[in-house]
Amino acid sequence: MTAVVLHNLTKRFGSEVAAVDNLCLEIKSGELVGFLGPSGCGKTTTLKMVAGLLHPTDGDITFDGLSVLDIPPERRGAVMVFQNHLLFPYMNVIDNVSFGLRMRNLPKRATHERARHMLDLVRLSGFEQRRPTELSGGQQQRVALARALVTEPRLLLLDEPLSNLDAHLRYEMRELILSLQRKLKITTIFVTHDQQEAVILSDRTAVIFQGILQQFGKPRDFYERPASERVARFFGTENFLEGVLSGGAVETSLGKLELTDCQQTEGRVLVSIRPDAIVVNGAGTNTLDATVISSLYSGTNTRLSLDIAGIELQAIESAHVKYAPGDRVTVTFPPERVVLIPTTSGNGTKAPDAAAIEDSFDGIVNQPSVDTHYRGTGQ
Amino acid sequence: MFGLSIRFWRNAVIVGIVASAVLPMIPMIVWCFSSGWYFPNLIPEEWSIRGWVYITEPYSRAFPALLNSLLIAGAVTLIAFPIGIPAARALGLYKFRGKRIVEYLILAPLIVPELPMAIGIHILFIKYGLANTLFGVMIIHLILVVPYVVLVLAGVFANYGPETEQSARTLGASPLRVFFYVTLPAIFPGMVVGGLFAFIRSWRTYVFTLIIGGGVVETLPLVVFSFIGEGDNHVSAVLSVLFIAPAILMLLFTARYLTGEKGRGGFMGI
Repeated sequence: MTAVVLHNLTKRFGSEVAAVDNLCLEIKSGELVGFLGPSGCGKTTTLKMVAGLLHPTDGDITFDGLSVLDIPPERRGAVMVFQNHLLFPYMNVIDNVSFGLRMRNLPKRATHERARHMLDLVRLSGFEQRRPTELSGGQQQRVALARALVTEPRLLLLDEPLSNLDAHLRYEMRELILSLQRKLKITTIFVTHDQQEAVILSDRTAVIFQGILQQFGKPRDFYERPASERVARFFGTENFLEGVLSGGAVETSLGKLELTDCQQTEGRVLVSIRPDAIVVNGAGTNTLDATVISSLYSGTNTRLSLDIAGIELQAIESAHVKYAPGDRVTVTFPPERVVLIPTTSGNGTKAPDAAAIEDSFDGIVNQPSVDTHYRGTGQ
Repeated sequence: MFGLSIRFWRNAVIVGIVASAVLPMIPMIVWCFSSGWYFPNLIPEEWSIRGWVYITEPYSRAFPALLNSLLIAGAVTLIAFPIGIPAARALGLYKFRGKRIVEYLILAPLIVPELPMAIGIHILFIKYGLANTLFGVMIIHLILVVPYVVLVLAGVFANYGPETEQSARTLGASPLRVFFYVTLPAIFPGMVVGGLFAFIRSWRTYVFTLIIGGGVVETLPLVVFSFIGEGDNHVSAVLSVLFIAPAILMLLFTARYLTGEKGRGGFMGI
């Protein structure tokens, strides 16, 4: 159970390209944290640095407050499980799982005992003598997990643990990781490019684009309080409008939209509302007239393209109501679902609704770098 | 073609290739037991095992040459690994500036013609006192043999996933243990194939051993060729069998790694 802190972690390959740029994160002991971002954004590189497989160009990594940069990977206690090439192909399952214990020079009988117990936990009892080539992908994953956990590591690092699995296996594996993590309380960091995976699995998620941390917080924060337009888009938010705050509402090109709980009363802001939050043919505050442009049926829901006062917005409605292009409808933006996003214009301007966004950064160590968390694509 | 299936032609080609390798051995084996066999007879006139007795005599220099060959080929094959494995790993796993040039230089001994190379190196070795020494001959054999080891193993490493090693490190294995527990078992089939090529390349070397060794270092090919030169077919045949036998034995022992069992192993990591 180790707390991990990344201090200004930077990794450069060659002279200019920074794969990881000034990353600051604090991970609590026993927490399940996800690193989320598109491929090539530096998340696996960060994971490897935490494991000790790569040396940072700059910055520091501490486990429980002590720097681990001088400790080689075999002594850090941070075990990494990769996406491919999972197991040692020339050993059977039980030898694979007991590998970490054998490296500690423990007697063979004891190591096999503990390995067997761990195989039981991952529900692979009876597979001890099998070879990796005789196992399915999901089974190999479970053996790899058992192998990692049997050493009771301080930290568990998973590189895209679910990416290679089909939907059904993915669900099973997810449940397994969650239950094992809860039970053993090992601080775990996993890397993924799938938002759903990150949201479901992690206690907190760090969203990283191009090596730069965008937002670090509980999954809900990315949907209700995204730190930037880019983060919002990454999580499937569409429908962005420019707006100016005045009073407890915001003036947009669609007119005045009422808000709930707005901390700030002045300033420019980006307004967005998720497609699934728009209510069609309902009533209430913030209701406007609209025309249906197009309607796309997808089995579980219907995607609507709506024309509202000349602006096109997307909405998702339940599938059983049918819409045709040209239908006149009303749209309602419930005030509690209107999301305000800090605009990227200006340097380091304190973002509106900052208090709400700052809640999600509980535990960030270096306060002066707070503005880096707001950095979207903007220079 | 000609109304016969592809399968037929494929089999015919295989039979043809095997026959061209095996058929010449038949007269050789017959000559092993005959001291006179001349055209147009299909069966030898004179039978003898004189040659077999001869090679056991010390003045035939047969067994000392055999031992020399075994010593040189064995030692050179073993030494080629600590040299070849790191090189192969670098070429297979990494990209770096000048990689092409390094590749060509390492593989150059495979392409450069033997005689000019031997003469050039001979001059150099005379200067450094390595000519006519066992050590000098071993060095030149090593130069000839390392490219094979690197070639085969670079292919193996190109298909290699370093993640297995990295997981092993995080599980508590030091770099040395990673090499013995993870890397070595993984490249072992490649090492067998590379080792086989290396051994055979050293075993069959004639020109280089003759020039660099100056006749002082005598390996089996030298003895065989000198008897062929003298025209004694019987003794030549016996010596040839002695020469070929170890190579064939090695091939038999390592055949498993050449074809791959159950799809594992295989040639050049494929």
